[in-house]
Amino acid sequence: MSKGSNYRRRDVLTTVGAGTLAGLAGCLGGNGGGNGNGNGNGNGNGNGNGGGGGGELRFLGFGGNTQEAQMSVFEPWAEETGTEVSGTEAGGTTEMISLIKQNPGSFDIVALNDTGMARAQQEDVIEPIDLSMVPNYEKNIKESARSLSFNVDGDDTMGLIRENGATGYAYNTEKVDGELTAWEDIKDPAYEGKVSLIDRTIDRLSNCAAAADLNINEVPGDEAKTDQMFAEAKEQDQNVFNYWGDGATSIRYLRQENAWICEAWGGRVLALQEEGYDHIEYVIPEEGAMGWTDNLAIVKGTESRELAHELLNHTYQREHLLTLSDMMNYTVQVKNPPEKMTQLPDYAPAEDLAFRDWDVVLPKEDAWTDRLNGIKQG
Amino acid sequence: MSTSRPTVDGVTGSIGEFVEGRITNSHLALFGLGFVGVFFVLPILLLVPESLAFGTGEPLQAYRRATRGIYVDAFVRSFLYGIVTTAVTLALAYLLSYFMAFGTKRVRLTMTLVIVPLWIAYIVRYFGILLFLSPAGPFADLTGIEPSLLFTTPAVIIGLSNVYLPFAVLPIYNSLNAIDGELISASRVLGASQWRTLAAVVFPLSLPGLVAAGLIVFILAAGSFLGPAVLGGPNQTMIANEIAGAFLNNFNIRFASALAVIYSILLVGALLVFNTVFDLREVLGNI
Repeated sequence: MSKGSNYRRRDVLTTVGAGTLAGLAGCLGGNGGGNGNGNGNGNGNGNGNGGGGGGELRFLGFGGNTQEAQMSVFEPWAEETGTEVSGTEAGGTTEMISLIKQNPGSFDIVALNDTGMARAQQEDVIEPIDLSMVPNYEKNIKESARSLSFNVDGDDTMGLIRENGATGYAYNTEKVDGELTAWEDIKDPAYEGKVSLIDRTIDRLSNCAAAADLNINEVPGDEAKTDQMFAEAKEQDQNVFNYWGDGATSIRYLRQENAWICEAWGGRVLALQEEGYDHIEYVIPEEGAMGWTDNLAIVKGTESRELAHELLNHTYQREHLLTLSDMMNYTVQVKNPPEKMTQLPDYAPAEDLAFRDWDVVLPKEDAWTDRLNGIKQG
Repeated sequence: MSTSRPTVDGVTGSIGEFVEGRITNSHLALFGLGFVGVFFVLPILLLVPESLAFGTGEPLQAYRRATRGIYVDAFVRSFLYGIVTTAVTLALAYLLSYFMAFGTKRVRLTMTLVIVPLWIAYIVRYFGILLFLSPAGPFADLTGIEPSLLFTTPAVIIGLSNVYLPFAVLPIYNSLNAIDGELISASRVLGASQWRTLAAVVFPLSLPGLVAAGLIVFILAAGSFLGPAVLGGPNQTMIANEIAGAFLNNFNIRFASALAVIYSILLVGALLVFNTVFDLREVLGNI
């Protein structure tokens, strides 16, 4: 082998080595984020609380201000009982269920949205709640909100509703002429490339069903209604420049004026208005909008079952429920809600809201996702 | 400084003496292969039974779904974006590397400017572009023009090229820097023009760096998630976005696994084809 070829080989090896090193450096330093999911609101960190010596409870919840609100409600109980309550944040329902499945015995209480409750029951990661140990739930939460299908399994109560809201849309009054009140309004060709909608199949189609005067729970199995719902989805897609996967992105689009009209959660829009963006208006369209809930459940296999029930009972004291509503900007379905709560952007009593029956809707998710993706990329 | 050096030398010398004879090349190879095996090959292999779902009522159903139009489009788009990003990045990186190797004496400063972005998380860099080009961003504020670049294919390609540029500059610069100056002088003395010298001497000798850079950028770009997620719209969805959507939005681990397995096979296949057609060993200098 010639000396020249040795040099070449060394050069090449050095070159590839430098490239590999650069690649590794990028891999180690480059993954700074991603997209969160779930109905978590805002940004922030949940923290552990409590005194010590009285046991430990581990709570798994959405990040942002929902977690802050929940931990602040846990705090007085932790101090009073000497129980350490630690909080872990997850980016969304899938991450939560994965965390529970992959770390058995690591969590005691979990906050899940309505989809999450259905999936958690499918995956068998939560266990029935003994309501006799949580008397405040029945005492303070309306009956109409206690019997939602995704929170019960036969005679068992699997989850307790915490807060709820609706997914309407927000619009920029400085960019849009006149008042928008309906789903029909967002189809105006004047808004081409200025609309952003939610990127979750069932959530998106629930609103399309509402816009088409359909109940999403009656669509599966009915070809005509399915076609009608997708026809609406296609019409609403005409002006869309992008779909958002997490609430923070919807607010960023509104703030940066990428979107003049953006499907959004009322609590987040209220927080944006409080920042000074009072030209952003929130609308529950007159045809109706999808209702959602966040719920509390006990993780299957918890070794602190009694403590978990105690903490839930503490949480469902009226004063704590009102604190949660105040901090989250969402409705908590308390009996005799205070006027302040009724002024929230997407306030509605549970009896006026339609929620998804996930046993009916969830089996259709894959097929509907493919069809909706075809429309989005069409 | 002068007092610490012998100490460092002493420590490395002691380590060297301890290691000598105890750790062979086979051990080193085993460590490397073990690392890749445990953290790359094994996880990918674990996805295979997850995706096949034998023992359920619908084995291979996830693969059948993955061959439908929108997912095939996402595979094709990923490879196309990978190729275009690689071409754009290599062109920019070659110009920058050439400048660093032959056009400036401030190599350390220029190299620092190339390396520093690597310390900043991808997401911050993508968001930087997004905020800069948004209607309420600084570009529109300064110029009064609202660019319509965001959420388009060019936005994604620009974002990916910007993020992966340093990965291309380093190997190409290394290749150019290793070229013996005497060869360039000889070419000029023998009457070759500057362009002919570049085409017949410099470019062929820098080919190993170019190929190494191309491979790195292509692999990173084709599998990108954040670029299309932040800067693209529905028509810029790449396969990593589909995989994330299947897992995070629909909690369909089987389908997400099937997409990941297919993508891995296609990527390895593409590299094998590339190797067969272009003979990587020859291009890379008969390694």
